[in-house]
Amino acid sequence: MTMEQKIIKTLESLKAIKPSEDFARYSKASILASSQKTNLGRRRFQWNLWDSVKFASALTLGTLLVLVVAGGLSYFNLNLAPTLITELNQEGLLREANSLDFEIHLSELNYYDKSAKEVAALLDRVSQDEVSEL
Amino acid sequence: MKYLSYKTLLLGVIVSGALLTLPRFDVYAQSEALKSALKVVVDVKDEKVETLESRRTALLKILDLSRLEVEELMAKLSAIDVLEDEYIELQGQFSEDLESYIMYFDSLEDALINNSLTQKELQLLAADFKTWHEEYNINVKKIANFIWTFREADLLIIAKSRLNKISVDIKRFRSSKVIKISALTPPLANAAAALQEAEVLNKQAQNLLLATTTPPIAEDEETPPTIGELIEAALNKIKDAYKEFFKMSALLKEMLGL
Repeated sequence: MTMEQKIIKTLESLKAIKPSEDFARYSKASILASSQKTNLGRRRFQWNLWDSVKFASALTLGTLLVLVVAGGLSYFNLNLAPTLITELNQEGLLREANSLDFEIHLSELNYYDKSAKEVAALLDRVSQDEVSEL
Repeated sequence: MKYLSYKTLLLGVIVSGALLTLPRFDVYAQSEALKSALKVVVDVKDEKVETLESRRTALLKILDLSRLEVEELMAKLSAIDVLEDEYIELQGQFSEDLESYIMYFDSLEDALINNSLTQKELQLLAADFKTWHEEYNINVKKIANFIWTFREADLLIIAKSRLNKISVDIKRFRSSKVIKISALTPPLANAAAALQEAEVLNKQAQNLLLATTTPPIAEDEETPPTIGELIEAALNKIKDAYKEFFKMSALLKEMLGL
């Protein structure tokens, strides 16, 4: 028997070694009682979200850069002008001017004169003795 | 470029949006009920008013109109927010006057509905009411002027806010090659001047409100403008300012090729 064969035989004999019943029960209980700490799924999700944010930011900055290079400052003049357009927006101005109701206000200023005149005329009719003109 | 951050843009949109969605001041507009009540009075005036019943009906119609006028004035007056003591006092006095008018209308209506008045008594009642109505109308006009003076001050605040926002935005485009500030500046200056004039006129009207409640000490040779004329002139100035805003809007659209 060569040395090699001796070693193989020794190793095969090791297969027969079994733990005692007490040790097996203790080990099993220890393993089952320990908490599961694996959160691989969440990590993967976090990584994906962060990666998406980075990608989106990069894409936005890249687009802006391309636009600045391609269009120069005129791009900003035209596209950021909406702030001023909002203030001078014809529709908005018209709505605001209408809400101020200039014409109605001007006519209302004269309402009480008109009303007083009509009421006075009717009271004259009611208080007079004869209505011969009718 | 730092002024053109997204925060600025967002704020601009929010503030202007809020301004543009300002509710109409319906409390200040004359109601359809008042307009139709006046129309009824005009119609009755054009009909025959000879019998006791037609005279009573005519008086009741006048009472309906006067009551509506007073009720609307009460609502408008209470909506006015004045700060100075003398105007608060005047507002309170006007409010009491209006309440007393309602009481007078109630008593008059009771007498008319009672149906026991003879034709002669009813005619005398109408004659008394006419004299009373003349005094009533003078005071009602004062109250209306009070309301309109302070209502106009509110309109001025809205218009001036618009002017300020446009001025601030124009400054941001000082270095722009597309938006020519030099073209927008004259109408902006015109609008500012118009609003300045409107403010002066409105202030004069406010002062006159107090002056009319005390006996005049001396009379000027030339006729000074009435409160109504001052309010109307100021209102036209505010209108002029908006015309300038519209001019600017058209110019801006042209510059941007919209």
